[in-house]
Amino acid sequence: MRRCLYVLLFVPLLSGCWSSKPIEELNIIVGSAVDKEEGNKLSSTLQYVVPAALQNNKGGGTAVKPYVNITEKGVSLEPIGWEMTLKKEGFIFGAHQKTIVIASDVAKELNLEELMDLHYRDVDIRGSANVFIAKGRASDTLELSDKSIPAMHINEIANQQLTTRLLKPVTLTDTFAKLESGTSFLMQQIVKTKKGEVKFDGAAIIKGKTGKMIGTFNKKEIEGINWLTGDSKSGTVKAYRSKKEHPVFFQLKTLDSEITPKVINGRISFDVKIKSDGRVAEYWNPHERPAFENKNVRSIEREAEKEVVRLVGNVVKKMQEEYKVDVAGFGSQLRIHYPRLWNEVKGDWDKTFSEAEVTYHADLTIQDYGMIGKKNTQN
Amino acid sequence: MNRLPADRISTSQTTIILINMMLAAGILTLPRVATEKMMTPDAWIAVIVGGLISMVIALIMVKLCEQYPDKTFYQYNQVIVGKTLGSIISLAVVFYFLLLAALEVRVMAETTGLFLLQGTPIWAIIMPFIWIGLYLTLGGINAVARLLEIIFPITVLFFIVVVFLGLKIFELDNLRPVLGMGIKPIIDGVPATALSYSGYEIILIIYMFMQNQEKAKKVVLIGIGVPLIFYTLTLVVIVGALSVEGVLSQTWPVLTFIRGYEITGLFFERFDSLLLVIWIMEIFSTFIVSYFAVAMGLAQVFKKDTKIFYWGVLPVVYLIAMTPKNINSLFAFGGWISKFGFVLFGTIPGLLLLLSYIRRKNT
Repeated sequence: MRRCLYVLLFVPLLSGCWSSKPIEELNIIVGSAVDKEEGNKLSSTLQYVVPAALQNNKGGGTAVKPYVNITEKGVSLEPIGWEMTLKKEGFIFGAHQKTIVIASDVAKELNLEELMDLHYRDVDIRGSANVFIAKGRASDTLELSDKSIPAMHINEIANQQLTTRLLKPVTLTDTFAKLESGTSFLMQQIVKTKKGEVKFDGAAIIKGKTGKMIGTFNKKEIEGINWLTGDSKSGTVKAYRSKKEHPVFFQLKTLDSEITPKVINGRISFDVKIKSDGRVAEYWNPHERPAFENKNVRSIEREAEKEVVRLVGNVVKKMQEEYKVDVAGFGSQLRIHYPRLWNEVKGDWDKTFSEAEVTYHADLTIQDYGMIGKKNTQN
Repeated sequence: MNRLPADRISTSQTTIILINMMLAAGILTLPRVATEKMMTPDAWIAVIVGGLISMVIALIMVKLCEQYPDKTFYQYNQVIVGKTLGSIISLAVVFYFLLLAALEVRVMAETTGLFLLQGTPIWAIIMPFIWIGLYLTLGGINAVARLLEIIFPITVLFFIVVVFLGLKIFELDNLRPVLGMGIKPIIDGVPATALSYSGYEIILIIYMFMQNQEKAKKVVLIGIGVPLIFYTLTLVVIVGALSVEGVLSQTWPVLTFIRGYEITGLFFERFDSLLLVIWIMEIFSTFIVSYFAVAMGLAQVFKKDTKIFYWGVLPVVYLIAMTPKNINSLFAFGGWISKFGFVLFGTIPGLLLLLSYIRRKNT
């Protein structure tokens, strides 16, 4: 009798998970885009994966688009989400969202921290999703001509971060920490080309205090930023003086930078030291002097160093003069080295920074020059 | 209350009970709670200081226990201060453990409901949890100790792996400067961090069961030392990854941190659910040990069979666990319990020790 009772106790467990949702019934989202609409409204586009189509494509059958984009309008993201359930069955499942694209006209008008609140708050959405700013309509970047899933595709480019011409990926967690502390920062800008490809093109400058986008940096200026912050893993820099000369390129293998703040009589200044090891990747110069001799290597290094200092100097000048923001972590170094002074100046740091003097030192080392070290200069 | 030989626990088992008792739900919010009072990245230093203070208090407790090696705290306090006052102290301690057990149950249900079993009613999460706890504690201290021996390596291993995988988003600059604002923030932060060690007071009750009681000092030092390392590691990595400002606004900073990175190429890409599932075991261990302390305390105060209390207290735990209306009252409840425990165990063992010395001298 007693044994029977025990067995009965376990019967409820047979029904399985209480709140289980069959995976086929979930609308798994991989990306989303936010755009501006008329009448102070927003529109949000969610990219759902179609698991069935993914399988078909693998088998070489008829190619079906592996994703569906759905767009709705509303005043903020939460009501838009519910509006979508009027169009498509099933719950919106955000746990696999990898890419969030915000149109630049939205970013210019709204405080990002307010706009993204749902993403920060929701327990499903993870902080590891990357956030981008779109030139033009954001939803366009989620509708590309090739057959891969656009959200995944964009995310892949960002995470590989192959060149100095794109930024280190900015995740939801990053943006939240920056906005909370009122630090200005950069976000990768993407654009859909006429051919229907996505291209990483420049960076949007977000002012920490207002949380709004105040301008852009182009790809060249991003190079400067990357050399300044040391955030790149690979990329190249030119090592020749003028257009008249033939191209020579330094390819970086390691990059390290250090910003040191100095305070003399209350005046704040910074010294930037950049160190990089790399190789000669391309050398068109018909009069190439043999790289087997170290002094010739040194002269290429010197050209590349000048270019790095120029790139970095340019972008810092733009930060200080045109936008009056610090997006490269100068403030963070001041906080570390002079915490008490930082407490005094942090309230209006962007302005204080724009008056600080910055000096640069680049130290590039060419470790090798590939398979050829010399060309016949007689021809 | 004659103890049976089967009820003895080894030195390592005692240490593990102590560690498991301390590591609980608190760690999930620790980075925020510790940083809140300080506003500098130095919380990890405060947590070390808090641990050292806890070690001192724990050594006082051991000293007290050594005076009465064959009695539990519930029994010998009556010898020291008399029957009535002793019973009152015992009941206060029982009350503390009861609240702690209920708190752990509720936090477990809250995080599970939020992250793992969305939509499952809270009672359906709590009931199996406490029933299994009941089943285990009915087996006595030895069964509890053996289960904790299994839980301990699993939870510690997973936690450390998950924290280290997150080094990808760790930035040393977020932890600098060290002591930039001097010692003052550390002093402000120590009380909050000292509270996170609550749980070592269980030594008052399990000391009697120890096989080698002379090793009790070592037990508490190691027992607190392990959580100390754990907490320090957690604070260093999480404040380093999320920055001071980032930590302050997160409800569950540890979970936010784990959701902040992805590891591609491994079997799992994401680790938050995994950690939570594993960590439930740690919460469970705190629950059962507290529960054990409650039932035993009541049995020894009222001189009745322990089994009655095991069965009788269970609904009370459930009711108390369901009292906090929302997450804020739950956090407030947790803070209040820690403070209550800190006052209770920070003062009473020391006073009792003093009294017992005086008593010895007089006789």
